[in-house]
Amino acid sequence: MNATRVIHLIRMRDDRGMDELLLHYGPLMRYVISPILPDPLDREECLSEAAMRVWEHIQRFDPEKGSWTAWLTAVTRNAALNRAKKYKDHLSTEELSPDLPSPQPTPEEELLRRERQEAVRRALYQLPDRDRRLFYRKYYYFQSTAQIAAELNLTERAVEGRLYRIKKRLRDRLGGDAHD
Amino acid sequence: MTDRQWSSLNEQEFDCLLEQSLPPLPPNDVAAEVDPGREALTRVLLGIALTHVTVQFLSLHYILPLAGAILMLLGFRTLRRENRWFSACWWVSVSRTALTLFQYALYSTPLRVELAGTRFETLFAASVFLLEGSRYLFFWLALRSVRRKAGLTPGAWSAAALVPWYAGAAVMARYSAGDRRAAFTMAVLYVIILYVLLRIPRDLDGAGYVLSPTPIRRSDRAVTLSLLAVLAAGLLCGFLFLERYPMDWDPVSAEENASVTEVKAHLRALGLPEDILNDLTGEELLACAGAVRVLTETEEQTLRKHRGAALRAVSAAIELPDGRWTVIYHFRWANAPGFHGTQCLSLSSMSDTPNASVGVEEVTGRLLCEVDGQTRTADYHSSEVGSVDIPFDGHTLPGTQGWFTFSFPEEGTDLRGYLLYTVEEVPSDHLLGTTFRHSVQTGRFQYPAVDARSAVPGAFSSLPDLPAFDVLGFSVYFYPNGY
Repeated sequence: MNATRVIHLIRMRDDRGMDELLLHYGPLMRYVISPILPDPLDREECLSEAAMRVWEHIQRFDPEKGSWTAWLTAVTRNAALNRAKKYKDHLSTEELSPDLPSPQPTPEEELLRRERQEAVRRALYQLPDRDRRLFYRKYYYFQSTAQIAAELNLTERAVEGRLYRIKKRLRDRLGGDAHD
Repeated sequence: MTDRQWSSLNEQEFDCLLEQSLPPLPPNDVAAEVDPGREALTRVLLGIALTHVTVQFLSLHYILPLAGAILMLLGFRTLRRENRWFSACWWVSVSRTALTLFQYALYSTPLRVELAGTRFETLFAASVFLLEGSRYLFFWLALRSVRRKAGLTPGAWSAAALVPWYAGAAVMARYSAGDRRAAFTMAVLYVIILYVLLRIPRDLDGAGYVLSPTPIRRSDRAVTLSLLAVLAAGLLCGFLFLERYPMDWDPVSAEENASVTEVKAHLRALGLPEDILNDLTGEELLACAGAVRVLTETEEQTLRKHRGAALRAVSAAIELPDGRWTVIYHFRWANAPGFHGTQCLSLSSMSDTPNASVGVEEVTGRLLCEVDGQTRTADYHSSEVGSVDIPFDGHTLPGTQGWFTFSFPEEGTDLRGYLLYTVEEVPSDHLLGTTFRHSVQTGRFQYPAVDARSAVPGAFSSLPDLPAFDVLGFSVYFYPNGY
């Protein structure tokens, strides 16, 4: 798999780029979409949508800001969340753009959001790597406890326990005692 | 957002706000490692790497392969329902782990030495070879299946390299063990396998995202602890119950006919010690009827590693009416070591005339002890006697060497035994010379366990330094025609 090649083909508007994207990164994109969209048909439509977003917004990929995998999973996740919003499930209600959420917030909202993100980012980086990955699985990729447990070779109870401790630690770092 | 605002949120609000507050891009390491098969595949690959570590340092050649076996078991446990090949890998791993635990437990008993060269050992080695080889083959086929599921060409050629690699390593280990060049080649092969293992995840080419790990009900820790408990139980069984040879102890018949009594009286008069007289069988005594003379030697030695344990050796050479000589080596523990493990008597005899050396298959003997006030006797657990050419003073002499293994019962007292053999004739100016080495297992806990026979490898070889064994040497020389 050669990410550089795929990126280059898409930037050159070569159709093979889309083929290579779906061939080599289709499984990853489906993996990201699956926890967010339960319906198989929805998933395939979302996959096509996400692939189109990659095609249309490839210029926004900046290796300085993140890896290809990170950017691709972010675009795919956002496409899935936007689609899920239509069914009014419990996931984020914000409209998410292909590469960044909140395309048109107010200046105050934008400032607040950035402050929160920075606080959360600082708190997350103080977590051990293993805990940080577990957290992202749950709160970024929206994976179920069962899926996380199966993929990390843990029991569901162990995952729940770890998530509880992670959140408590985050709450402590972000400010105040745990609030039940 | 202030600290107070964060802390005033209830759980649901906190969760929601966390989701919304995450940076738009996940960290690179998180994005790379959120992968369904990564954890399981990492375990399998690490397990393969550890399984073939043969560094004999701080018992690493036991610990690391065991860790590797358990890691592969846990890795394939998660992947077993992905496709039939991973399922096959899982079942092979279960079998292989069982064999590993059995083998490790077997190493705790000296009886494993008896299995060397037997059909059991051959079958066991063949089973291990087939299981390991088939696991690597199934693993390759499993990865091909995953790539096919992801819409890629099957390939996975890095994993395919495991099969010939293993075959080569197995052949090398089997036929070239101990050879320096072979050891170097094995090290090179090991570096190659590490390189191959590192390429396998790349070889998947993103197909790993189609894997569907199986949920587990028992944690990895619980499984690992269970396996280690089974191993510990096996080791304890070996140390506590299988540290001696199985022997058949029967009561000694006290009956004695008149002929035997007469021969005993005659031998007693010639000077044959009571120690020997009382323990020989009726047949053996009758074979000495009409003895012309008796020469004797007595020696007592104590063990180095178990002070207080003393062995008394009484040897006798009986000249028979037809010119043959019967040589008897009788031993008795004056103070037996507390632990009754394996023991071995080795015999080595040489002469510059063929007739004066011990003939093959002519060595007899038995063991005796007292149990609950009754005298019991048993044959030696094993005996092997053979001819050998002994280098001596620039030429070779015909000789005989033999090994006789045995164990005394835990409750036995007055532990003793003897060996008896006949020499055809002793020309003038020649001697009857035999060296007896008595190896005694003084320690219960040894790993890997060896038996007393291993402590006296060759009758004329130097002795290996085995911490759990002590060896006493008795040189018995008789000069029938004067010195």
